[in-house]
Amino acid sequence: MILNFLFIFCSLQAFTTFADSPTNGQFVIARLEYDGGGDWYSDPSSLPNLLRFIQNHTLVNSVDQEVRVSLKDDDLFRYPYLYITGHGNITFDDQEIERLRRYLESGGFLHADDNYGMDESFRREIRRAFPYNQWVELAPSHSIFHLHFSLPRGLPKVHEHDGKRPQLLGLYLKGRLSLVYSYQSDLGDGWEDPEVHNVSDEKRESALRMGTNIVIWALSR
Amino acid sequence: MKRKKNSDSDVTDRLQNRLAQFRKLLVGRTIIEGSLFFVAVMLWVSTVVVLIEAVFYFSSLWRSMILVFAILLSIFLVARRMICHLKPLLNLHRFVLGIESKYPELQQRLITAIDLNKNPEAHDSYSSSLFDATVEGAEKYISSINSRDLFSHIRVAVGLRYVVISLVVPFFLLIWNNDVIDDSIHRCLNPTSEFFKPPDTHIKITVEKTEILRGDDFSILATFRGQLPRIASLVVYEDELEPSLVRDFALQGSDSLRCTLSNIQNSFSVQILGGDGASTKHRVTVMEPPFLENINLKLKYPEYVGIPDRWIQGSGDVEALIGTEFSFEFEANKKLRQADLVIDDTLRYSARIEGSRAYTNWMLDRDIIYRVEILDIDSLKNIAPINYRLIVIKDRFPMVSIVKPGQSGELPDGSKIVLDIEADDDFGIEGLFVVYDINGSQKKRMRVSIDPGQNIHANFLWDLSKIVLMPGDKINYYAEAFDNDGRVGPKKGRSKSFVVNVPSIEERYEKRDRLIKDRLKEIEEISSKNVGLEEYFEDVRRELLRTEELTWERKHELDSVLKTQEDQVGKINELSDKLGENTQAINQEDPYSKKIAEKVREIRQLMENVMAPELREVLANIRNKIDDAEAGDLAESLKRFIEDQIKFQSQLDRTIQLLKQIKAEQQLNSLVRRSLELSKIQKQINKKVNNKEFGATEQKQQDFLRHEIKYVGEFVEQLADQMESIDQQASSRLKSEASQLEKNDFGKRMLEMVKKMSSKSSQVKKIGKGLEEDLGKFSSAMESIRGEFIAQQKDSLRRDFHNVIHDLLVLSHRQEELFSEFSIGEDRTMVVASEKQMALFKSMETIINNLTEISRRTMSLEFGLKTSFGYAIKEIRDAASHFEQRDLQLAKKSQWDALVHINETILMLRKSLSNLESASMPSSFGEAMQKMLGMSEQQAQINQAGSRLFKKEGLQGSGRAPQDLESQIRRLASEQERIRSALDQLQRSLRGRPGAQKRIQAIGEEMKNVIDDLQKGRINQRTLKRQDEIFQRMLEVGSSLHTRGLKKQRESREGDDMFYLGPPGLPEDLGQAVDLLRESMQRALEGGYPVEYRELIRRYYEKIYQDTVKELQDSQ
Repeated sequence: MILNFLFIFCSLQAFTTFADSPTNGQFVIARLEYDGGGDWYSDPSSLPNLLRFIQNHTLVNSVDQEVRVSLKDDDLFRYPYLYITGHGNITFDDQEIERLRRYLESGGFLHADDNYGMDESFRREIRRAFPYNQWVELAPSHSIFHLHFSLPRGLPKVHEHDGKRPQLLGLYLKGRLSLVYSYQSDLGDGWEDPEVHNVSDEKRESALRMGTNIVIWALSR
Repeated sequence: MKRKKNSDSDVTDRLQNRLAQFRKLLVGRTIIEGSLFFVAVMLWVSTVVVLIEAVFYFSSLWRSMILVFAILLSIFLVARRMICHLKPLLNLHRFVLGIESKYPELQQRLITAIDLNKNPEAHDSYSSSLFDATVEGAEKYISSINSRDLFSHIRVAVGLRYVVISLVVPFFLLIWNNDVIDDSIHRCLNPTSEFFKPPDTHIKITVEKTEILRGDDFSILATFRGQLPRIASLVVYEDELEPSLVRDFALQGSDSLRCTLSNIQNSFSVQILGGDGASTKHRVTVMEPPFLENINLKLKYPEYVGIPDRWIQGSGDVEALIGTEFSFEFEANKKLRQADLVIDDTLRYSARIEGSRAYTNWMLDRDIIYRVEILDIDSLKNIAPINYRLIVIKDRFPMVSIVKPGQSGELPDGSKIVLDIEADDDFGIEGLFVVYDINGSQKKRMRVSIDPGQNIHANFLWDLSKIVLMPGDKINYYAEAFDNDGRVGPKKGRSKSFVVNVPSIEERYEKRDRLIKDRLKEIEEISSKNVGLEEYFEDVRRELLRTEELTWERKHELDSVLKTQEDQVGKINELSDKLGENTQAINQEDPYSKKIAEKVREIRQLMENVMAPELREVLANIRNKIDDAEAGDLAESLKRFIEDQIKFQSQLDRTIQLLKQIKAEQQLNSLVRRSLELSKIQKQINKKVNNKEFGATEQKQQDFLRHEIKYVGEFVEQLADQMESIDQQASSRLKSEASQLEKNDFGKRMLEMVKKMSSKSSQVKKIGKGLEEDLGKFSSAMESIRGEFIAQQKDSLRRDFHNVIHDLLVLSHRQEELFSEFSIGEDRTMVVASEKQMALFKSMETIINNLTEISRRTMSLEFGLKTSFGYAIKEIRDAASHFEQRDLQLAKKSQWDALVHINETILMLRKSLSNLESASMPSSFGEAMQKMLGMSEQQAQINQAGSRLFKKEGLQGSGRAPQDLESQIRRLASEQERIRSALDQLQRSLRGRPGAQKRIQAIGEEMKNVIDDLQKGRINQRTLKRQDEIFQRMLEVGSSLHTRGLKKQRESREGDDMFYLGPPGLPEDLGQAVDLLRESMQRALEGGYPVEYRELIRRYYEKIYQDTVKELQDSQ
């Protein structure tokens, strides 16, 4: 465990040199704004809660508030960790697609969380950015499920949605897992304040742990 | 001499006897020795013959000859040996000489004695004495010889040794137990019998058992000796004639073979063939095992369930309630000796046997896996008995849900919530409760009255006004239902939890502020869109007057503008409704806001006026005129419309001003209550401090106050600015208070107090006291400002009321004079009367305007005032008209009626003024709401009673109820009628609110149908549905009359974890594919080009890339 912490700590130090973060070197998750009608702003308390959880359970020094950024923002490349969610349609224009491609290929990381309803449009847009790459499903044996917290059953299913199996899908670019897509799970709802969705404590804890593992993965790779 | 001679003869006889005795013994010994030798020879020869036969397998002839030869050879050898040994014994001389050679003392004596004795002539040659002495000496010596010394046993021993030695080889051969040797012996013993030569390959098979169960597997082991064959064949005979199965095996040098026959069904014989050899046949018998042919189960459910016994045939897997008694009947294919019910591989219970059936019982107390092991009368067991399951259906937990409101929300107006609770259970609900807590404190439980049943639908009116609630409180509540499980106790089901929020001071303020702002914005938008329209219409009108004709394009344009205008009116209509809702919300939220609410309500009325039928009529006329293309009429219509437009604009402007004033008043109200709240909290903290009971909670409270007071300070400054255009005096006082707040430096003092509280300093008390005093002063000042503000508004309105009343009194007086003045039907008089009456009518315009102005500022006007005054105007105008028509009678009647209505209006105005004075009284809208809620509750009770009656008698369709129920149904009808009457009263009281009236009217009509059904003694599904609709509509009306503020939340259900079913690992290429285009671009970008070129390159590739992606998507 101590070695694990040291590893993460060192990785974090390396990460902080990746970009001159506007948060004084503290880790922050940037919520991605987009057009198309989807509610990019949904689950408002989710990221602050996740960031607090990370602060309390890891050596990552994080701020407890999210920042918001669009793909066209000049600041985009200052945030190595992006988060995108919503219930509706997502559209990126050509410039945004190009920026997303450059961002991810340059070492950025994107976590997309299916909040129910964004799947089709999100996959469509990613297809536009990376037409030749395929989603790969990350099995429970993948180290992303065991890096910090052990989640032997894989991705927790926070909300029922369509009743389908939750999947953690990854998109590898140049051999690096650059994009993680939690599908049919709704981690974001699990990170929200307990009274918002009445998610059980156990499920909420699992969701936060999963979120932490994704963050640690992004920071340590 | 004779005696002497006799004596010599005796000696000789004795000698001869003695010798004869010796010779007899020697002959006997020789025969024994010969016999032993014979036996030994025979054994040797036989052994040799057997071995030769074993090797050569002679025919019977040869075998017989060899045997004869062997026997003859043996005889010859024995005979020869016997002759050699017997020959010296049979000759006396050789025998005597043999004795003499053994005993030298007898040398020549014995032979001499024998010879002389045999030859009498020799007596003469020898002296008798010598002869006698010789004989006597020989006889004497012979007599002294022990016969054992004379006859050695060595030869007999040698014979025995031969025998023993000759037995060694046969002995080992017998021990060897070799079939070949055995067969050879057998053949040698039967030399004349013909034997077949055995094969070169010897096969022996070994079987484990010769009886197996049907379906078992059978194994056989074959051992090969002699010449090993390359291939061996397994031959199975189901009958003895022809093989039914032949299976070949390659031995590959092995001397054994194991083969298995599986799933044997019939008896058979088996043999292994290989080379020229064949094994013996083994017979294997197949036995039929016992098995269960059928299982019958009888289920006896626990009594509380109320389900009759049930038989299940042919299946052993059953789900049943805990406590269910199972009676098993197992039916086997053959007679049984024993049957055991084996539970969970551990418990074993013997079943009662009757022939081929077995019986036993089991009380289900948990999930079990069981099997039945049976033993038939041949002691055969059933093979692999099937495991069955008895699954406990855990008497399902009751399901309960709060259908309405079904979501969290804010505390409703009137602090009453109607909960619509549905509960169901597989066997019945016995208890239903609403459980709540305030801010997570101890939970409290309220029983909901229900009739036990499987499906419960209950309405529960929860009066939260009985609970002491503070701003910011959260009431968490849910429903609990208990089932009727009498075995393990009632089980509890729980609904989803909901929260009723009591808005905090800040939330209330923000909400109101937001509402007002929204409405302001909307009105301003509509207003700005209308600016310019009147100018446009004026242009059109002038053009019409000038040209007397409208071009087609102009008509079209005009039509388009009119449509836009109509849309605007529609929007205003919607806005009017919204304003109405806001009015109610504000009115309910704050008793101090009555005045403000009254004004907002007036705006609603204003909006209703704007879209009043008159305006619609004008619009319709214009449209018709366009169609008819009558330019003169059209111009007139447009003029009227333009006038309405200008009026509309002015009304909107006034409304905006009024809303701004209302907003300021609202904020002032909020500020007052907030300051009071802060002062109260400070008092509470100080009380704890004085009692030395303060701790972390008080510290937090004080810190909260510190933040709040800062916000309040900013708020006071903002409000002061807003009030500047409304009430200068109030504005300046607010500014003064804002600067006082700064001087008081509450923030610093409160922070100090927090710190001192941590250190339990004695100064805490002093600081707290100072804060309390200053906060008290601040709240008093705020109350004072608000009081002055409200008083000023009231004074202004009071003056307006008095003016209108005064004007109406004057009007009444003048109408009375006119009534008295003109009582003669002369033409000239009538003309004058008409003119005076018309002048009176025109003088009413001021009163109308003033009254309208009042009605825009207060909602205290009595319902019906407008109607009465309207009638007064109409009658005055009619009187003028009748005078003009020279109809004195009608004119007088109209004058009188006008007088009556004017006086009615004055009385109503006085009442309205009284309403204004008693501003703390609730509005008629609030009363309407109270009435509606009360009726809703009664309706819910009637619905439940109806539902009970329906279920109780199981009445279906439209069938009539039995006689004994009719009275109960009629009672319901009368109850329903009573509610309808109350509803009629409510409808009448809602004059001027057409929307609400219409909805209540619809409810009334639905009620009539229900009452009709009930009066006919008929209650069916349709009746129940109607009742439910009535109830729903009543609640909806209640909701529309109030801003319930229930915030809808997105509903979702928690997901259950699912097992991973995807691929176990990642693909080798990690889902990546070679993107030649990207790689090419990367290479180009790394080519050392200048920056501007690099950007061009990137754009170039991006363009190609986009096209490629598009093609890819199209192809998919």
